[in-house]
Amino acid sequence: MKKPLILFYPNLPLLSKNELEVLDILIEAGKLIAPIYLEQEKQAIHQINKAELEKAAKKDPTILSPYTLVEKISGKLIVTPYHIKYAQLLKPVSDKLLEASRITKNSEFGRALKMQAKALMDGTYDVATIAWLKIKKLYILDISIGPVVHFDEQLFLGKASYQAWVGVVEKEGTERINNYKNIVLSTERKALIHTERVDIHNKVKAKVLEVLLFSGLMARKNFVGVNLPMDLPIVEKYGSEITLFNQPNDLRMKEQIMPTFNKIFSKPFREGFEVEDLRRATLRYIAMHEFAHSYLYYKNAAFNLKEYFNCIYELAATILGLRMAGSLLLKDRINNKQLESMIVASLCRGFYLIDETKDDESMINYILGWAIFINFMLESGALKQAGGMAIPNFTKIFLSLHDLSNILERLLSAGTYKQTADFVKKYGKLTNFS
Amino acid sequence: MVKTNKVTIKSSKNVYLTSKGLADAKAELEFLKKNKRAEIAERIHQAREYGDLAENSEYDSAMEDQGLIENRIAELENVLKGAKVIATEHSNDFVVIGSTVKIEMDDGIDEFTIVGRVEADPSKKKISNESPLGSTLLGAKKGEVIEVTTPIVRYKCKVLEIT
Repeated sequence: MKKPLILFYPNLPLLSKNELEVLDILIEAGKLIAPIYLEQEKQAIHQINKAELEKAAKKDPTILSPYTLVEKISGKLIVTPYHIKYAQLLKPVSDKLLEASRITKNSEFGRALKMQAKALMDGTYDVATIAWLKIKKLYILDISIGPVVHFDEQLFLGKASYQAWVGVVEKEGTERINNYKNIVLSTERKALIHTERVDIHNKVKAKVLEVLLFSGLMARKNFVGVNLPMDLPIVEKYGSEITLFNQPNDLRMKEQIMPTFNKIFSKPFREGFEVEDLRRATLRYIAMHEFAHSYLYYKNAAFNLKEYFNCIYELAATILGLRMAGSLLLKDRINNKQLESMIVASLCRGFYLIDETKDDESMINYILGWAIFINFMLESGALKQAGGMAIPNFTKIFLSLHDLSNILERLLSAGTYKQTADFVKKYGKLTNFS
Repeated sequence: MVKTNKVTIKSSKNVYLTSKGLADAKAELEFLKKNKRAEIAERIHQAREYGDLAENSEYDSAMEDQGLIENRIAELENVLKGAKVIATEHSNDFVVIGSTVKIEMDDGIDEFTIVGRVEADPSKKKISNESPLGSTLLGAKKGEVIEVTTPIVRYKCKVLEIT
């Protein structure tokens, strides 16, 4: 199996000697996450099924903790916390973080590293998460390391995956993204059912990174943006942080967006878009997707929608994100072409996932979401297919985004399981694309 | 090799500024002309002494900065030439440049001030009078519903308050 580790070599801003020393240690720590994730992947092959897990959880609810490994040994389910199961592999990672915390000249960063090192060894992940969120002034170096729950990770039945990224803050991109954030998140968006929504839109931080390392799950999925943490009580109290990744975005452009762009759009259409427009648009629509999450925290949605929740929640964020980008246009922050590029880039991502990863079970929520998006656009006439090419009508797409966004938010706020299942059945077909 | 800096001047039409915006623009222009120009000239002079201008990164960087500063000076001069100061006292009966407007649009409530394009900064709730939203709102009355349109986006927008 391919090692889940990607090293990038970006042009970095000028760093001090101390920062360079710390950065080297962080990269060493990040590399050590790859074998742990590999171990998780090997164990996932032999894992018990979800029904068995839920049945056992009735007797012992801790079995569902995202930070435990559940194994069947001699017919009996054995639950082991991650920090015990992987202690031997985690010790050198923790040591590296402690070493970095000792030498860094940034005290807040050092404190968070120390908490993270401790969490890896004793399972106090929430304490470490809060320490990171409490950092007041954005530091130029950045790391995320340890087990993290991601909505689209289905491999381990909702369990956390080991992952790491190491990067350096890109000042210009970070300023730009915070500028967008201030525009779109300063609007008081109405909630369909006010009492059901957790409002955190004024507690969101955002940054853009030049990435040096992706390890574990990050390397497998090549995320371009994340909004963490996902634990709602922590988010409600301490807020969340959006991180966008430059080099993984370049990689996605090269491997997914551009080949799909060339495949699904006609030559005259393609001539209207520059590669650089699409590269920025990809980062921009993902930023908007992550911002949109801030308006979509409905308390009972995960319970009501069950296995459809992740798909609806992720799709709702993409659609609302594109819709909110409309206000950037109306306020002269972006132009028509930039909004069109965002729609084109998102369509490319959707068609790529449907076409290339439809057999990847770990991506099912995303694939289903994109199928709903594209089928909805086809049904409304906003998107047409002719001769194997996609023909978008941007004005109609924007109107359809509005309609789809309202349906999805209704499902999240007050939808029943049956309503959601019927909706997914109607629009989630993967067979409508030529 | 002699390098020259091209100066790009944006079209000069009426530019609306608040009195503070006008004072800020004048102060910035003075600072750039009196301090920054001299500072850059000194950097270029020092960089020349390192020799070989073809492979002299300090010289390139200083020349690049000089270009940016000259561009900004030209832009500010142009702005000040066509500057019109927004009246601080204005009617709240309808939206004018300088009005702070509360609107309902796309399922959200938003509030911002309409300013000239030079001072516009949507992230700080200052919207340009030339933006699709700003230009459509000008002249609208409290309670009025207007349609903001671009080739892609069309939104109904209700004016809730004007101050």
